Amino acid sequence: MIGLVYNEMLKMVRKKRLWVILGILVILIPIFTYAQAQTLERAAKQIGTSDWKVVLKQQIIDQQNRLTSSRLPEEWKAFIKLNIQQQEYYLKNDINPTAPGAPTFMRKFVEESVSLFLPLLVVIIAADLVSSEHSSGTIKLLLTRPVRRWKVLLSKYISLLFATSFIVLSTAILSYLLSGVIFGYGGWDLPVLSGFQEKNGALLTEFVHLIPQWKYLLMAYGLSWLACITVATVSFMVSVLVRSTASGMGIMLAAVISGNLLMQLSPTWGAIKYFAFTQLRLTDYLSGRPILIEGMTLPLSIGVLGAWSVVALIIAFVTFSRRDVLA
Amino acid sequence: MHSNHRLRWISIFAVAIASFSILLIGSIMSLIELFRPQTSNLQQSASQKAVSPSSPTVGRIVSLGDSLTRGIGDDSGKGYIQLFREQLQKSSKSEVSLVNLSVSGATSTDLRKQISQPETANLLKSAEIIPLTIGGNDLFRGSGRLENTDPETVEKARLTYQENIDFILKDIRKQNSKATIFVFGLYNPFGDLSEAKQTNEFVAQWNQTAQQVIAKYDRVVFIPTYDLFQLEPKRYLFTDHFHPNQYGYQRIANRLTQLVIDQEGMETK
Repeated sequence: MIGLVYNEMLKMVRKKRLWVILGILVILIPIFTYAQAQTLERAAKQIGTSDWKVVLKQQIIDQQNRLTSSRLPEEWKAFIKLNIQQQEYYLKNDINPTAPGAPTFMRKFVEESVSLFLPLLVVIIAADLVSSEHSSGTIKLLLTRPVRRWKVLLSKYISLLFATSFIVLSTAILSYLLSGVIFGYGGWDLPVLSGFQEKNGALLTEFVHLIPQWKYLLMAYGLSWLACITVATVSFMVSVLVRSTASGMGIMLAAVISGNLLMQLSPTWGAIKYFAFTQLRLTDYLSGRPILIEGMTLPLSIGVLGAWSVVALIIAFVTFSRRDVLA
Repeated sequence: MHSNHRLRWISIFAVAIASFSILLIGSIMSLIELFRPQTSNLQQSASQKAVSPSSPTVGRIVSLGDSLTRGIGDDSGKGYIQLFREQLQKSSKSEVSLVNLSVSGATSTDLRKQISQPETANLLKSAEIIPLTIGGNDLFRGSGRLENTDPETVEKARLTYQENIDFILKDIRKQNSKATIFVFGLYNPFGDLSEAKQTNEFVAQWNQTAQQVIAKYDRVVFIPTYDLFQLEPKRYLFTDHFHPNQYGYQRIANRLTQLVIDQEGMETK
């Protein structure tokens, strides 16, 4: 079995997809870093000071002004109100939520990329994991060996889990190394607030506590990893069901992107909670960022993601063992 | 060849298992964290923080008030306050900073509440110039027409306004005894309508009220705006017929700039 897994991982390394993903990260992260630095600089310039308290206060006031707009949908109003309460809490406790430094960038980056960017990177390697064996004709070689089919598929799945972990961790490491050039490499033990809870449109702060940033990062990347594994598992199923690389990838891209779109477009439609790709923003539970969709809780998100993964795995294994490949 | 193969085997598995387990640990930690919320440990740290001296905030202009200070109606989004800052910047060598704390739609009661917040107080402490517009929403209730044509209701609102503005000025003075406060008077956006006589009277009354309160304080300047919009309201008002447009704001900004530049030593700073 270990031999099979090794074999699959070797194939993955040889296929150079992982290197393409690393390349994408190396190119994009500096761009994000630069953009972030520009935004901070511009904000500081507009107000005329880089004192974070003043900037934060101004942000709160600006959001209060947005609230007075009559064209704003109710759910956005609730979202902004919670955001304001959280920022006021930061201000009151004298904690800068955006203290500069590479670890802060890592935190912002994972919070922003967990629903779209990271899943897309995972899709790149997962969407044709099985189907590529069809297109290259190697599936026959693979299946005519005296190994049970489920073992072949399992070894592929395990290697996919490893690759997903590798991608998430590389994102973390690369975003640290690259953004540190501008922001500096310090700030691991900066205090971060966690434990915000929402109840009936009000922010509960009784469970709010400080976490050192390194621990927060470990947890945030751990949560994004769970989200990525669901994406990987569903892509894995698609790669079993669909034989062409292009359509497999197309299906997964459409699914991930529409999950993000649905979150923005129709947060009031309760049924979208049960669509796996609207549940990817697990890090929001950690940061206490208000959640736009009504009724979303952590157990529900984990449950939905878990259920999709299990069902996808069952479908993948059943289909793969019954399929007549030699025809 | 064999050792090479072995090395590759080890390195691939080492990287794979290491990344897998780090993230697994992270996700388990976060699930524990999120499913079993800890009670807050903040009280302690917050009190510790309070002892340490807060960092000095630089902010020469801190503006307060309603949609006028926000700049509603100006197509460029600047409003008088940004125009004023730009003009002041031209004659100043150091950076002119601006914190705009105005909330569109605010009444004097809202501003009174806002002033009492500790963070607002902190910002006011370091201010040198405090422009403020307030009262328009008390009198005109925000949207379009004058709703309270009943003189009694208007009179009641005026008394509240009087009390609030007194409270606000007293409070700002308590935080900051040096800054110059500029209070803008009201103008009549309905001066060209049929009820102009009545509304003009109200606006005049309210402005008088404000001036009377202001007279009690040092370094508080009343800037009239009534005259600016009196003759040709259409030209200087936005299409909502309530807020100034960019030309209107330009005129308001000019008044403020004039007064500030006149101040002793301001140009050399």
